[in-house]
Amino acid sequence: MSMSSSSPQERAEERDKLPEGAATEPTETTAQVTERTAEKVAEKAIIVAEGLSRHFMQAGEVIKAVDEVSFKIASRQLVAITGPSGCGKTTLMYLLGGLERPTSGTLLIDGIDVPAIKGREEDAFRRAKVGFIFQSFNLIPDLSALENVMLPMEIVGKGSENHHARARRLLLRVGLDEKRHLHRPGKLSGGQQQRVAIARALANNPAVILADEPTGNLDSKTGRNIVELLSQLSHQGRTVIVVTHDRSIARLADKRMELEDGRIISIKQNSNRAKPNAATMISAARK
Amino acid sequence: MFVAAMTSLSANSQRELDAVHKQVGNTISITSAENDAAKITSGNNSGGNPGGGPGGGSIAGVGIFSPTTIPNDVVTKIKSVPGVASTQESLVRPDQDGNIQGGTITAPNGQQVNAPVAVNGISSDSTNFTILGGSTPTLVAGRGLRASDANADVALVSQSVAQENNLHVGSIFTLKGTKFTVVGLYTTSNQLADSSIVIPMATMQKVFGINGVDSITATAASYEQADAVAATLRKALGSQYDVVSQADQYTKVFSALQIAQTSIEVALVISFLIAAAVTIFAVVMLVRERIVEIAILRTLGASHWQVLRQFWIEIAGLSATAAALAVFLLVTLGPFISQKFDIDPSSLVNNNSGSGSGVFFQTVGGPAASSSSNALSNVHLAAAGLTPQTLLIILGMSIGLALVASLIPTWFVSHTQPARVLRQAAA
Repeated sequence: MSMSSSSPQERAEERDKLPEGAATEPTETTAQVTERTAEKVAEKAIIVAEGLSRHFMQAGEVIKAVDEVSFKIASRQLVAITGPSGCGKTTLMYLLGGLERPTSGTLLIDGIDVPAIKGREEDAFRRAKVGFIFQSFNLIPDLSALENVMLPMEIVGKGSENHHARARRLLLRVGLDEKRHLHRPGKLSGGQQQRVAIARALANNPAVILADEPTGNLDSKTGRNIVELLSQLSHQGRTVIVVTHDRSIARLADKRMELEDGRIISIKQNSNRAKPNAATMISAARK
Repeated sequence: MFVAAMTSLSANSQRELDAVHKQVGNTISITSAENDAAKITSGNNSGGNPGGGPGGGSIAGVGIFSPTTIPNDVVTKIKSVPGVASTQESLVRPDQDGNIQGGTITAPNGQQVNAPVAVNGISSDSTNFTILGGSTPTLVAGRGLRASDANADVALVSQSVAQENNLHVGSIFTLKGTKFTVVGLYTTSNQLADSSIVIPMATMQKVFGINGVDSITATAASYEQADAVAATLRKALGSQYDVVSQADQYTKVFSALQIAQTSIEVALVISFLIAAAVTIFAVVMLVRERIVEIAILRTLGASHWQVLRQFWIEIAGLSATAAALAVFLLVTLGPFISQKFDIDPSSLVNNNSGSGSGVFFQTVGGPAASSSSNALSNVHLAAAGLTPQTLLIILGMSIGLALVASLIPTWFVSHTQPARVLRQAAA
């Protein structure tokens, strides 16, 4: 098992170049370059699942939360996992994030055999490879917005002098006014908290962002802005997997996987995926 | 704080108990049993016959009681009892001729009275002796009594009596018709004992016409043997004599101190258990309330150690705060807690069990003012306060409880499954 050879800081700088360019100078040339690069990279699968299962025992009965699912997800894609409640969406997301171990099957993320890693490697995987966004935001209530974003960087521990500046930059990028950076989550609206959660997910510049019902606690307008923001992230080079009930998110997704009773019943490619325009991106980022 | 205070008090009570044991020593007091009844009579009627038999007199409002003596043959018998290492005989009578003036003393009722001069007979070869039941004279001029003074008309005079009567070493005074030469002057720490004269025992018996002594203080070879020797003496002397070891006199003090110590130890254990339970409960609540935070930190890639370190730092901070608070409370409330556990030895000493002295002074209508000095009257539990010992206890407790408490987040962190917690939090 090996982690990426470049440092999180280097990768962050590399990935941070795109959004800044997009947000400040949305020229046709830059967009074309971005699209070509995306198509090239998309050919390489960053997530490969084969016969992935997660079974639970409940009252002597086997519950197949995720049952023999197989799929590939290319990098820079926005993938929507949809399905009714209890179909196994969240369990699948936790499997992808290394929060749960599969009962059987294989799972490779960015070349890492996720079920095989344990202990420090498992921690390192979660620190470096995935970023989580939750429906209920799951921010630390005693920390300010800025400190919440700095937290994953503090956990990594290196280059602490840059943490503050990077956290501030990320919060600005997701559209949280600087005057709210020192507010605690309780003082922020739901949309603002979710922006902080997104900035936190980006803190260590992970390759994969896993979002579990990110719009579930938000009103429709704020939800749309958050979805736009997630879509931007995929355009900026991250693989974003969104577990959602919200079918409108699928409109923006490159791929839509539908689950039922722990099984994938359909995988649909969306060739006409709506690209967020620069104006929408800037607007979403600033709200 | 309470644990530190209790530990401090427990140590103090043990120290006091040891001190009482040391002070009580290995002496046994022997007096005539008739004195008990005579003392009661004397308390009701202070008239009487100052001589060899029971009775008493009254001088300036101070009642004087003269006890029944122990005959010389009984004294010899006592000296021969196995286990008796040494004896000190005591014979005390007031000078009622009025030739010698006593000092002025303050009675317990605040009245200034002219104290009678107590004449003490001691073995002429005694190098160390006590008068009036416990006061040890300190020679300030002249010399002490020698074996050669056994039948001589020589006297040691207290400095206050000497000043009152213009006496000095070499002076001659008359007592019961006999001329005595002052060979030494002494002082004592007791105002009653300061109004006294000491003469050789044989001379005293001759001058006062008494064939015996008021009391004998027998000394056993060791404290452990005192009870056995006292039992042998009781058997040898029969019911005519009261044989009381000093340990018997202070039974209630011992008992009170032991009860205080037991109470303190029980309080110590209970307070420790409460402190531990409260700390552990507080930490359990702290960790349980933040179980989602633990799950989030684990989700963000924090290792077990990183999560634990955060809780350990917080627990250490809490413990340090608690220790500082404990120090503050100990300083402010320690003396109050000590007071609650303290004892009053003066009310516990068995005053009716005889004393080394044969003369008892009583103020008319006032409480008994036994001349026997109570060596244990100052036995008190030292106030629980901030000492190096209590500071170490507080620090030790803080560190110990912090270590125990740190096991709680350790358990929670190692058993927390982030996925399960996040599911429950979302539900």
